[in-house]
Amino acid sequence: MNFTQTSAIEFRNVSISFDDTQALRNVSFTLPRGGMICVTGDSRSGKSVLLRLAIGFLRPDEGEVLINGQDITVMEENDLLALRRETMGMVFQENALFTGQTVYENAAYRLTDRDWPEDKIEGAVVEVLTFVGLQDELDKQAEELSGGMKRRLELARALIGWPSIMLFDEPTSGLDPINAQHVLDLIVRARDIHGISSIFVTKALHEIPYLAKHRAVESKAGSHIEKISGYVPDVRVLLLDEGKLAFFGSPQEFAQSSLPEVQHMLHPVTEAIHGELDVDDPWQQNRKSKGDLE
Amino acid sequence: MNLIIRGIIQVQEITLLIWRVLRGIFRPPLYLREIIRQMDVLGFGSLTIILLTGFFTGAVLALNTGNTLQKFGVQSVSGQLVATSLIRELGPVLTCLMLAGRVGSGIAAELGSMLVSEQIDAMRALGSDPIKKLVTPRIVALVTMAPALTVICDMVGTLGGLLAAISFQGQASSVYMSSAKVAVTYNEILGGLIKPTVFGFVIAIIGCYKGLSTTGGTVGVGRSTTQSVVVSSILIIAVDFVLSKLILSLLLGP
Repeated sequence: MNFTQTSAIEFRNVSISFDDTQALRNVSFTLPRGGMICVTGDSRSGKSVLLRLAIGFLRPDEGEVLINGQDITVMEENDLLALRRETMGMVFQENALFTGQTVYENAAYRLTDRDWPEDKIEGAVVEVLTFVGLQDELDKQAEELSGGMKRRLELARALIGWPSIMLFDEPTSGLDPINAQHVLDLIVRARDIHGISSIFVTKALHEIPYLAKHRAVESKAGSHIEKISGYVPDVRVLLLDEGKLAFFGSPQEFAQSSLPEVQHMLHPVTEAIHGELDVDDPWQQNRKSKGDLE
Repeated sequence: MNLIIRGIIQVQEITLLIWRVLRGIFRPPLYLREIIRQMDVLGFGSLTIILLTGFFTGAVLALNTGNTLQKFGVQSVSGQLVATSLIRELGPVLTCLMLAGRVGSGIAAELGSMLVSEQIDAMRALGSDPIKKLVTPRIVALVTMAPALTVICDMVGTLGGLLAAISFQGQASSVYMSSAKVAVTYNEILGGLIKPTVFGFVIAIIGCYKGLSTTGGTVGVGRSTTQSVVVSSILIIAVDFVLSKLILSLLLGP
């Protein structure tokens, strides 16, 4: 098998259930090396389950999950840990930093655990913290950072050693627009400059065109993000609807799709308003009474 | 019925946890630095409460038994009574009950918080085995530090008894000490060290299990912490009975 030709992540007919609920049904897709898949869908559509399967926290009831061509569903826990250590990183939806540890210790965690020499760890930590803009916060406790800085530190902790595959579970949730865009820019840089393959889970649909239409460019002065006229190749959108793969294609195709599931995602307001109209008005009686009095 | 099934499932899960700890204990990475850190936090950090507990237990023992011994004219064995009680029973049990309260609850709370805030998932995502990184060091630390703290408790307790005997019963220190020395036999000490070793293991494994099986967010963390203290305290007292019987039969004779 030619290693360079294998995909980064591949799902083959993956299904998984919890009690009576089928979280994913027969899902298949391929993430090419250096590519990015933006996974979206309603709450409980199976987005986070998909990520947990991709990193091997869950094993599917049926189907195969391949990382760099290796089926992780039949892998021993120790081999799986080694695979994650060497090739994968994940940013969680909630703040999952190690409390009681400094920014440096959080960022260095993966390398400390691999018994790297201290001088090499220091170099790698400074590099990755500079990448996320936290190079001046080394000695601060993780709890002392602001929300945006915490998220960037999570990125740094996952990116140290530059793993080839990254999984992002709604990395901008709970952030203000400026910090959210900062995080998106870092993800674009990781993808375009370091060639990292990634799955990006989001409910914020505006983030998908941002990731698909912006590119990181290296120059002598460093790197910068630029908007391009078309779309970045190898960016795909995957829509999950109650565990089923409802759509898989380019961001352009997603925007133009007439599939009801896509339309529901793109225009969710109408239904919400209809739902609102059906609700009984508890104050109606009060208003009538008040009107009667007047 | 559900309670019985839940109990059986918990025993299975604890057995599996013990098996996973034992299987990986000598497999690298060994996390020696983490083991030493836990020995410091769990062991050295508990020294003050163990010193106070031991001292006052020994003192009150000498105080309470002094008058009775005097009635029978055997006040001279006060030292032996205090030392034997401490080495065989009170030292190990009180030390480990204190550890269950201070350390077992801390372990359950720490691991429970890490679980509900996805820190343990983050650890696994970074390629660390949480059992090796979090559970094994705590077990090794408590299995080694509980006997050490018990020895300190025994010594300080005997000293507390001495001070009480001298101050309130007018006993000569030489009489008390020579009587205490009779109690300090090789088998007594061995028996007194086996108990805290087992209790230390119980405290650590229950604390880790309760922490790692936390559900229900921050409320669940509180519940796990309480359960950890209750279960390990009851187990210490129950296991103490079994061990006492075994030690009496095998080491100390009829």
